Amino acid sequence: MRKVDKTVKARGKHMLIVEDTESIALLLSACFTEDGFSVKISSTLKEATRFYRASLSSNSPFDVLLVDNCLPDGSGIAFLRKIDTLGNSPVKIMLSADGSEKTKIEALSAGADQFLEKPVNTLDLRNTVAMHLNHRSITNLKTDTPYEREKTKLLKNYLLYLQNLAEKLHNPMTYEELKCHLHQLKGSAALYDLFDLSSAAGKLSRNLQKSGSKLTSRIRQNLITSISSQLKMLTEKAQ
Amino acid sequence: MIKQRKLLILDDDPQYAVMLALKLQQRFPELDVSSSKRGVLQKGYDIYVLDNDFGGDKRGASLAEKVREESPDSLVMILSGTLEMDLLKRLVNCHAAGVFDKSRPGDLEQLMRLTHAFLVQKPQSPPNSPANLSETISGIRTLISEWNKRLSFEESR
Repeated sequence: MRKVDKTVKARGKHMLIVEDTESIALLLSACFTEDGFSVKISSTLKEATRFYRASLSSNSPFDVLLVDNCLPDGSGIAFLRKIDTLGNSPVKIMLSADGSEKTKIEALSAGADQFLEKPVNTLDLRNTVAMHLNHRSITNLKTDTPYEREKTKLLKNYLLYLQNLAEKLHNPMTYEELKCHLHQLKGSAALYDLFDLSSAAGKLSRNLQKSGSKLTSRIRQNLITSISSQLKMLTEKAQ
Repeated sequence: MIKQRKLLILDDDPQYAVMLALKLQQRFPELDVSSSKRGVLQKGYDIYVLDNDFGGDKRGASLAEKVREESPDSLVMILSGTLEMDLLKRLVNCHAAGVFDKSRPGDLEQLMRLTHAFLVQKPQSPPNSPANLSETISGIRTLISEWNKRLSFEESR
C-alpha cells in the first residue's frame, strides 16, 4: 500500500488553497491539516491575492499554493503570474479539469511547479507537495539567486514565445518571414540551451533556401512539429 | 573614480538579446549591459555586440563602421549565422574583434573571452593599437579558415 511521504516536515508550513468548489477545498484542507500544514482556503482570485499580500507582510508567507485554474473571477494561471511579481516563491501546484497540452504549458510558463489534472488522487497530491517542498529545500540555497530567478523568468517567456510562434505558423506566411523566423530560432534556441530545436531550425532554414518559396508550407509544418516536440519534452521534464 | 564600462547589444530578436544580456551581466557584474532591438547605433558604449541580420537586412558591417567612426577605442563584435567575404573585408577594415555564430555555444564562450580580455586590458592600450590590430587580423584569418572548413563540411553533406 502506498503511503504519504512523511520525510518532509510540514508542521509550521503555510498553505493556501484557491478552490471555488467548497467540497474539494474542505477535503484538501482536511488532508493537509492532518499532515501538519497551517491551511487557508480562498474561493476567489481577489480573496487569494489579499491573503497572499497579507501573508507577505505578516512575515509568515505561504510555502505552498494549490490553485484551481477555473475560478469565478478569473483564471488560476493569471493568479500565478500576478503573485510572481509580488515576491516570495512558494511551491505552486495548478489543478485543472482541462488537461490539454496548451493549458499545461501555460500553467508551467506562468510559474507552476506542477500541473495536475482533476480529479486528483489526494495521496498523489500529498506526495507531489512533499516532493516539491523537499526539492525546494535542497535547491533554494543553490539556485535562488537573482541570476537564476531572472534566467527562469526569461526561459518561461521564451516558452510562451515558442508557443505563440507555433500558433502563428499555422497561418500562411511569406518566404522572407519564414526565413527570418528560422534564422532567429536557430540562434535563440541555442542560447536557451534548446539545442535540438536550434539544429532543427538550422536544417529547415537550409532546406528553405534550397527549395525557395515552393516548400514554405511543408517547412512551416515541420517547424511546428519541432517546436511542439521541444515543448512537450520540456513539459514532461518539468513534471 | 573608475568609470563603469558599458556594453550594448543590438539585435532585432529580443528573446536572444535579453538572454545574452543576462549571461554577460552574470559573467561580468562590473559591466553595465543594455540591449536594443533597433538596428540604430547609440553612442557612449565601450563594447558593442551587433547582430548582422536585422530581419533580412544585413546591417552588421555598416553598424560596425559607424561604431568605429564614433568610438574608435571600443570593442566591436558581430553575431552572424552566415559569413560573406564582403562582410569579412569590411569587418577587418573597421577592426571588429570577431564574428560569432549564434547557434554555436563555443562561439558564445569566445565572445565572453574577448570581452574579458578587453575589460582587463589597460585603459592606455586601446583595441586598435598596432599590437591589438595584428591580433585582430590574426583572429579574422583564423576565423576565415574555420569558416571555410565549416562551409566545405556543409557542402559535402
